[in-house]
Amino acid sequence: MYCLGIESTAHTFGCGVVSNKPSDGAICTVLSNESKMYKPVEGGIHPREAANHHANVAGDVVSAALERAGISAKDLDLVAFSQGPGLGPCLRTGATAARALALSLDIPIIGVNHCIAHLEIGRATTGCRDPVMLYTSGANTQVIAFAEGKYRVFGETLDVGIGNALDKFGRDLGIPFPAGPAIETMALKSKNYIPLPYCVKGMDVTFSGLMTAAFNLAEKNGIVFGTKPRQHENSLLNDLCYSLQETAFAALVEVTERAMAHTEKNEVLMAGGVARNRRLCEMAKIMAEARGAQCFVPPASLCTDNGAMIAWTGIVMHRSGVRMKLKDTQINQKFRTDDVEVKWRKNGNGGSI
Amino acid sequence: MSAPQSHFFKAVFFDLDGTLTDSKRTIFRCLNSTLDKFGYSTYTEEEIYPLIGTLQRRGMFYRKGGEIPDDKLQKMIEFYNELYLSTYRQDTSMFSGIMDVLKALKGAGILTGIITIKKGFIARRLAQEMGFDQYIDVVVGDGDAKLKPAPDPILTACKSLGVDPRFCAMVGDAPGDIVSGKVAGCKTIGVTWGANSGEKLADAGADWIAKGTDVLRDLLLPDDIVRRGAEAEIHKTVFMGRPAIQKKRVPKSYRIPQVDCAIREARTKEETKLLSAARAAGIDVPALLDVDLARGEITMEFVPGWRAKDLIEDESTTTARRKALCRGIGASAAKLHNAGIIHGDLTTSNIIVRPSGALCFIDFGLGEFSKEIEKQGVDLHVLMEAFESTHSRFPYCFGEVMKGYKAGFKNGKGVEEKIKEIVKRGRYMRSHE
Repeated sequence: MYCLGIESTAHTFGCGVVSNKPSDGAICTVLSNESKMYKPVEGGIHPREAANHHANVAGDVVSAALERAGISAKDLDLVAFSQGPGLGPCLRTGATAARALALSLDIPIIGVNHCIAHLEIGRATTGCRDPVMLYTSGANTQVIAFAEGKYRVFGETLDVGIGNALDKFGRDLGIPFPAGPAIETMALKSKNYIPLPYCVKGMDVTFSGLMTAAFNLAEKNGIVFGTKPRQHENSLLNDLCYSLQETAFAALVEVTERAMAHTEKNEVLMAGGVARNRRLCEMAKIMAEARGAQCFVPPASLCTDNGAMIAWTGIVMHRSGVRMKLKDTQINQKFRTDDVEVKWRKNGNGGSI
Repeated sequence: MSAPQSHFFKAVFFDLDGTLTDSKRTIFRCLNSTLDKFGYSTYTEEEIYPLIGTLQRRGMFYRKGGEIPDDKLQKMIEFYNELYLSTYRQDTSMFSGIMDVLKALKGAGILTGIITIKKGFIARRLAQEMGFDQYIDVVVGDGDAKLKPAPDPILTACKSLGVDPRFCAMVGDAPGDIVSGKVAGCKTIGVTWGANSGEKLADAGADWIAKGTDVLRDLLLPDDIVRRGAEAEIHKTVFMGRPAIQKKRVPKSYRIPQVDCAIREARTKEETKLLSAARAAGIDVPALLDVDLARGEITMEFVPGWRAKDLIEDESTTTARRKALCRGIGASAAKLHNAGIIHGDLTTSNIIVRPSGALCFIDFGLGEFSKEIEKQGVDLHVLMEAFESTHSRFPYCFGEVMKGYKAGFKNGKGVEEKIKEIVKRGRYMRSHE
């Protein structure tokens, strides 16, 4: 079965083609995974601008995905798309593209929960079976695991996502979007920890206070917006980036460990754009090993927002008997993971799809 | 769990005289008989007891006899050994409770050994004749290795058992036992029923002091880790000779030491404050015994009694008693909230009913100071869920809790409404909502 998946929850318009083998439907083959990313001229992501970007590139990205996969549109058996959660205008652009494809090709269409897609592509490609997922991206910061027939959120940010928090810190200081990789590089140059507020409440985290504290420290020391990149070769900024990462990531790993202890699971799966940060993955790995568990990190292209994960989850859902009529394909900006009936996994089941 | 758990022992070594066996009268009698027979002056009880376990027989003879020629000394030792072995049963016995400790260790699969300055063959024969050799895996005595306080006999015993000394404990009643154990790398436990006081053993560096065999047993058996959560471990321990509970916030290697220390210190401090504030407000919580912020450890009273959970479920508890207990829980929760304390994990497992009937709240690890109605509501909602899941057979219980609560808390009605509101939110399986 060939499935084309469209991802458009935020700044990425992605399209991937994935197949499963007729002999073993549970084996995932990613044939292509193309994407184009909207980059704001200044400031953060502007939903309408992002949606315009997606509309402009949709045709090219879909064609590129089909071409890279080496199949033509009429070979497709299924179209899947990100139904939410995400930015409304962006989601609508992707959904419209998906509906157009499904209608013109006369093939089924399935709306996929974006967070669940991160988890399913992780299970399909890393070998983990029943993980606790630490999902960290721009807008999303959640700890998700399977329990009682659904993917449930065990912990999450109470204010901003970790990616957005890092981006905002960078933006305030003139580090271009996305700031995460630049912060990671600068953090590597320091080993000097500056105490910053650490905020874990039960299984939840918050980052706004941490970011404000870091920004205030920067400002107090003359690092402000517009400071030339060269001047960013500043040891205090390196120290702040290092301290920011150490503090925020410690909180993320702590709530992940709590969820693992609570659910008695022994696998952790990293997902989302921030999971590309080596230090975060290293910390999760150390935590997992200390409790006799394993840590799994999908390849970078499948960690960030991508079409292949949507396509694969479409296949998984379709195989379990999920069917959608066009009227069921309305997008849902606040789509919760536990709104989805996980028919493809039995209760307490760790393995089968 | 990478780090060796502090007191889950692979093997436990015991000193013999004064630790396992009460043999001071035998030693006193045989020593004086020997000295007398060979024409030397004898010891008084006060003179001899502090020397037992520290000084070998040879030394004890020299002390009274001065320069004894070698052949004569040899004869004295032979006479002493013969007399000892043929008569020790008159006045040597095992300390009461020790046999149970040895049996329990065997039952738990923990190896045991005797480290003595007696001749090895004598110790082995004693163990056999007194019927505890079946619980002893190795005996190292005079002739088998260099003597205590050198670490050699313990290291020899470890080698023969194939265990790492760092995972072993040395138990003894003399400073020499403690020193030997420490140098070998073992954990050390001083016992006070032998020749020396707890202070003397603590001065020698004992990790723990046991004033009774029950305490020793608690220290040695692996069930001392009562609970291991994501953040902290609860250990049974001994504080100044009394059973106690130690809560350790364990270091996490994934975070840098600066972050790790700050978090553990802040949380330990917060929990300590909550415990003392509750106590100051007249609420029964475990008494704080010691706080070590740097290590993230709180040592507190071991609260004897039963978990409220078990009493409620117990078939023999009458309905009237169960209702009274639930009202008591409500009244105690009201006291907490009146004092501005949120427990944070209010379940019937975290309430201990003391033998006197008093209700004691334990585990304030998720607690905080707050007078917000939202937090009070969440606190009781957790308790309600605990009753609904654990005590569903007794559906009247939570109503009684609320009766007790409302009688003691001014805004009890408001909190009751809040609980209803929280129920309606219906978010599933979030940590403690």
